[in-house]
Amino acid sequence: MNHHKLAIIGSGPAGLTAAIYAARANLEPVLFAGLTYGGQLMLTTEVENFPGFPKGIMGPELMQGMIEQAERFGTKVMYEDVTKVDFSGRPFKLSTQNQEFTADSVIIATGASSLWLGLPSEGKLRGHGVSSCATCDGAFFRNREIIVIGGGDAAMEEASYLTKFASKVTVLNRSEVLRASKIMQDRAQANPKISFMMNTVVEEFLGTDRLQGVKVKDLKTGESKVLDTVEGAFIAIGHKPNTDLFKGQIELDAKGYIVATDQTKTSIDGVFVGGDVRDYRYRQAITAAGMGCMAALDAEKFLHMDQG
Amino acid sequence: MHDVVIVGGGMAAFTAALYSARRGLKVLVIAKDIGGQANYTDLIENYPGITETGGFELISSVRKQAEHWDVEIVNAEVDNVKRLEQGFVTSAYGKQYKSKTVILAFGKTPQDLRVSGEDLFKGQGISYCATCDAPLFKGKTVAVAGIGDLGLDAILLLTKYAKKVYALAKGDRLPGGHPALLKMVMQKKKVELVPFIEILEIRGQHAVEELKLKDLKGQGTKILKIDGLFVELGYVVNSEFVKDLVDLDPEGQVKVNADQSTSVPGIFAAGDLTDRPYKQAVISAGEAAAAALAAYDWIMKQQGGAGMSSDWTEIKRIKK
Repeated sequence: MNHHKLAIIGSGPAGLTAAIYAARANLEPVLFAGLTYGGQLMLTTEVENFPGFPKGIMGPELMQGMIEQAERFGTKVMYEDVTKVDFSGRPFKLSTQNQEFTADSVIIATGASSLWLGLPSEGKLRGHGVSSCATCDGAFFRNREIIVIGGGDAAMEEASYLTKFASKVTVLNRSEVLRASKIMQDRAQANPKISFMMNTVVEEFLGTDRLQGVKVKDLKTGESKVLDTVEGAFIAIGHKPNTDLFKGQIELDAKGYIVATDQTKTSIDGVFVGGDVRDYRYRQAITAAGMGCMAALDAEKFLHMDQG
Repeated sequence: MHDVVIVGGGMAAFTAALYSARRGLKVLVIAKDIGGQANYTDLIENYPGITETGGFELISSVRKQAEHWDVEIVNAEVDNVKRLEQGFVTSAYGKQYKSKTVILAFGKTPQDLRVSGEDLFKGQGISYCATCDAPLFKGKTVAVAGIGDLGLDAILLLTKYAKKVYALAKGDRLPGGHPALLKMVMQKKKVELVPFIEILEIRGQHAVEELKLKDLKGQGTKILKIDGLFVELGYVVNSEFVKDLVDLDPEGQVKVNADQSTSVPGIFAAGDLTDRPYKQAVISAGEAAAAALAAYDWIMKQQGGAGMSSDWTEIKRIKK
C-alpha cells in the first residue's frame, strides 16, 4: 500500500529541508525528487552564499548532501515525476507514470525555473560564465566584462548590481525600447559602467569550458559580430513557477505562483508550500530551505492535530 | 555612515551580514556575544547540507563566510536604537553608529534570575549554559536553579563533572520536567535537593562563593557554600531597548511582515526574536537572507531607484 503521512513534491533546498525535518519527526515522508532531481542548484557551479560553507560548495554536491541527509533519517526518495495530483478529497492522491500514492498531507516544493534563451551553447556554458542569477554569481565577475540579456526591471536591476563587480556591463535588448520602468532605465543609463545594445540578440555563446565571447546579431541591419572580451552573461528574461501540475487543484496567483498564507498554508487544508514556487521575490537557496523547514513543522502540527 | 547595522551575533546576524555585504552594502555587526543561542547546542544534525556540526562551529563558519566580504564587527551590547530624520543611530557602550537601515537579529537570551549579585558574577561562577560550562566545574560543588527538562538536563550533565550538585527548589520538588527524567536525576548520589528556598543573594570575593537563601517553610535565611551556580530558566527575547521603537507582541517578540520588515520602515528583523512560531537555525538564516535583500531594496528605493524587482511587481505594472 503506497500510503504515507506526508508526501513532498520537489527536491531542491525547500523539499529536501522539509524532508530532513519531517523524517526526524518520524513522519516517514516520501519525497518525489523527479527524474531531474536537485532543483536549480544542479545547474550552478560554485555556491558561495549558502550559510555554513565559508569555502563555498558546488551546487550539485550541496544537493547530494541534502538528499543523503534526508534519506539517513528515513525519507523514501522516489526518482520519478509526479504526473497528476488530486487534492479534492482525503487522503490526497498523487500519481507518477508507474504508481499511485496517497498521503494525509502534502508539501509542494516544486520551485521555479529561470527562462532561458534556448541556445545549445547556452546549455553547455551554464554555470561556466552563463548564469541566470546575479545575486548568486555576480561576485565571480570582478573586473570582468559582462552582458545582461533582457530589457525589463529585473535586467536593469541586475545590470546596476553587477557594476559593483564588473568592469563593464552591456545590456542586450531584443527590441528598440526597454520594457523596464523609466526610473530603472534612468538609473541604469546614468551608470557610466553600463552601455546598451538595442535590437540585438545573442546567436551563440562562445568558448569550450568557459565563456569567452558572445556572437550577437543586430536585428535591424542583420549583421553579426563577436564581442570577444565578454566573460560573463546574465540572462534576465524572467522566471516561471513550476505549478502546471496544480492548476485547478489549488489557488494560484496571476503569474502562476502558489498563494500562501501564514508562510506555508495553501488554499487546501493539509497541503503546504515552501520555496521558490511561492517566493517570487528572494529566490535564494537558504530562504527556500528555511521555508521548507517551516512547511515541515506546520505539516507535523497538522498531522498531530488531525490524527491526535 | 553604514548602509546597515546588524544587531546580534548568531545565525541570523551573520547570514544577514553575508547577504548585505554581497549586495555591496557597507555593513556593521554589533554583537554582545558571538554565537548566540547556537552556542548552547552541542550537536546539530538537521541543518541542510551539513551532516553533523556543533552550534558554535556552524555560527563560526557563517561568520567566516561573511568576513570574506567587507563586514565590520564590533563586540558591544546595544542599549538603544533611535530614529533620525534620515536613517537611524544605534548606541552601544557609549558609542554611536549611524546607518540607513537596521536589522534586528539578536535572537533569544537566557532568562536571568534577577537577584542581587547576579550581574557581578556572570561568567565568574554563574553560568547559563551547562552544556558549555559544565566541564569547568570538575570536582567542584555547584547549585542549579532551573525549571523543567532544561534544569534536569543540566543537573544530569553536571553529575558527570562536579563532586556535588545542589538542586534548588521553591517547593518540595524540582518544578516541571519529564517524570522519568526527574526520577533518574533524583537517584544520582551526587544530587541533593534543597527544597523550600528562594535565592536572596549571590556572594563572593572575586567569584561565586556562597548563596544566601531564604527559608520559605521555616524562618530566616541560610547560607549554601558553592563554587558555581547554573541558571537554566529558558530563553527570552531581550527587546527592552527597542520597545518604544518597533511593535512587539506580548512576549516581547518583534512583529514582522512577510518581507521581514517591522512596524518602522527601514528596520528589519530576522531569526528567533520575531513573532513567527518557528525557531530553527535554517529558518533564522533564511529570514536573515530575506531581511538583507529587503534592506538593500529599501535603500535603493530611498535613493530613487525602483529597488529589487520581481516578477510580481512587473505583473502589477502590466495590469495597470
